[in-house]
Amino acid sequence: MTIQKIGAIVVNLKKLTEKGKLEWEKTEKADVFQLAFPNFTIRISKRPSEVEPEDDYIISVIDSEGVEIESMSDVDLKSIYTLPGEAYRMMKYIWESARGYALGVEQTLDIIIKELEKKGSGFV
Amino acid sequence: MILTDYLSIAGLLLTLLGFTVTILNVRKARRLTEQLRGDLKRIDAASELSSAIACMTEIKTLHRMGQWFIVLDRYSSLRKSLILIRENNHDLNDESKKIIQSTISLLSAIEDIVEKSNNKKEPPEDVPKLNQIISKQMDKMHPILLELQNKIGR
Repeated sequence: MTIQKIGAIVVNLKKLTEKGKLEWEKTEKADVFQLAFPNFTIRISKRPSEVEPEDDYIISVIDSEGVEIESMSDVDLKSIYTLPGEAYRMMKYIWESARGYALGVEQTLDIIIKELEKKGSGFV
Repeated sequence: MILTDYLSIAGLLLTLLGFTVTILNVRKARRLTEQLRGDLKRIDAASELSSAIACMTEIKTLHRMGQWFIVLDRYSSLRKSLILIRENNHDLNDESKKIIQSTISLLSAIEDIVEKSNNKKEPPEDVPKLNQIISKQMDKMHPILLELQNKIGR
């Protein structure tokens, strides 16, 4: 049952990440990002796979006292989705979006584009 | 009606008026007591949060000094006080609770890193990064402290 619930969390995280509704944060490690709620935290991380050339993506749930209560990788979750590679694709997308949000990549790129457009329009 | 009847009615009215005034005063006193109780809780929470922020500064100093065994105790006591602050204060909004939860999770992860490096008898790899994360959380906690302080007496 836990695997199904984590699977449902991943699907919802992907949907909300697509809508830009989640405020991911940087953590103590460069490849780990977290999303805090009033009484629990979700973390997404990646690590080199022991068998595949691609990285493994891991989702962890941390309770109100900071203790990790569950952790699953895309490999653990692959059996619950119908499409092959769905778990990997979703978790990779969440990780990349979380990184983008936490590091402010998107916001910074938007500012750079605006600044360049402003400069460009000056010459027209 | 004779004079004594008028006096009886007047006496009854005065008694009712006295009762009403007493009831209003009791209600006012109860309201003030509740407000005082709330204020005392907020003063306590503000003081606890202020101590927690001071403890984070101390942790950063201990990191810089490489006091890895001493700092381990600080992480757990800080986490415990943050948990209590969050659980005991219904005035805190969800945003403030999220910041506290985020800090608790980060402290727990940092504690894990330091614990593992202590076992290997080595310092953690990226100490400036650890302090950077703690500083960022401190910046986020200051507005919560101000919010609690501003609610006192209101």
